[in-house]
Amino acid sequence: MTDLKRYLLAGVVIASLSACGSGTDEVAGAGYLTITDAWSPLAPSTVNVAAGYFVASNLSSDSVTIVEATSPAYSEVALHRSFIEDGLVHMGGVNQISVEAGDKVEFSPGGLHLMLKRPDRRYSVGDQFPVSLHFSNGENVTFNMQVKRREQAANEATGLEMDHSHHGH
Amino acid sequence: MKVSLGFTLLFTLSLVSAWTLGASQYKQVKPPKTLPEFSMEDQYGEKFGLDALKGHWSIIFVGFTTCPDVCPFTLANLEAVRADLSLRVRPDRLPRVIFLAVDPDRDRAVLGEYLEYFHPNYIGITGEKEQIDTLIKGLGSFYRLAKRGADDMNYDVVHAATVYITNPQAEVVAEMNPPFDPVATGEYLFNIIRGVKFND
Repeated sequence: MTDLKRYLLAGVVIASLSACGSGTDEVAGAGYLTITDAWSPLAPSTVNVAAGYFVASNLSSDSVTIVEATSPAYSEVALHRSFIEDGLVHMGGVNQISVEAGDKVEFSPGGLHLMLKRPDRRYSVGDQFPVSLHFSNGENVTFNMQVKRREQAANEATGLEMDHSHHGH
Repeated sequence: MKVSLGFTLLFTLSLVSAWTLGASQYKQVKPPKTLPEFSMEDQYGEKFGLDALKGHWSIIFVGFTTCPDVCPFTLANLEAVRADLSLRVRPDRLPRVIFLAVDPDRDRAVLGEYLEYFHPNYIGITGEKEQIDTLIKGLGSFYRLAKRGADDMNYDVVHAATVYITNPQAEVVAEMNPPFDPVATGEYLFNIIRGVKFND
């Protein structure tokens, strides 16, 4: 798991660095979770599953528990996690994810992700679609996911890294 | 002259120690492992057997096409590794990426377009379960279709995270595990291809 997370550095780096503020990424917040860097890698056209990644920061003073994700763009959306155990890649559903006050959770390649099944149409680079996260307290947050190429996301991470060092955060 | 030799030696030694540090991710297979005969098809429907592995270096990755997270990420990373290597080895020694698709019922029809998304030169192979199992066993790999019933079409596929490196004699000479950092992995493959022997 730890190894996998490191290997998925590109994704994680994008996520953590742009949390510093990239300017172009949409930020959605409902007072519970603030969502940044929501993106979905362009999926091969013949495959009707895709992944969704984002960073959810809990800037509130209460713990928030994500219990469900939905999207009008996909007929099935699930909270998922990939992990390596004994050298094998596993993937499975996650019932709920708690984010403590002041903490954040990263949905990034090789770890937590949204499993998006059966799109209502074919999505291309530059498209976006809405996703809602539903919390155990009955609230929810809706935000847009940008469809990007994986290498595009990785390049943006590199750019941000340079930006990061200049500002000495 | 002496000074530059000293530098070269020092530089070489530091590289060797760098490989040793990253040992757990990379493992040379000694002696190289001979693979059994197998008969599958590539994404164009052409026969692909043991002979097709001969004459090329290959990176074999076990996966399935309906995997949204780890498989695409690994394939994209391997492409970055190949891009890095392409600047350092002759084109005929550049390893091919071979995606061994172990879920033929869902993979066969979509394999070509799936791989084109990553790189037009990627090779995807799949076939009868028995043939897939023969190659998987020969590689020392593993996969399992986690079906919950006969009509379950939403199943996950558990598969080895390891990728296998075969030489132009179609023998397994090395295994690599994630993380596939493009530069470190490229460096390791570069040395494997050049025939450098080091302890790992």
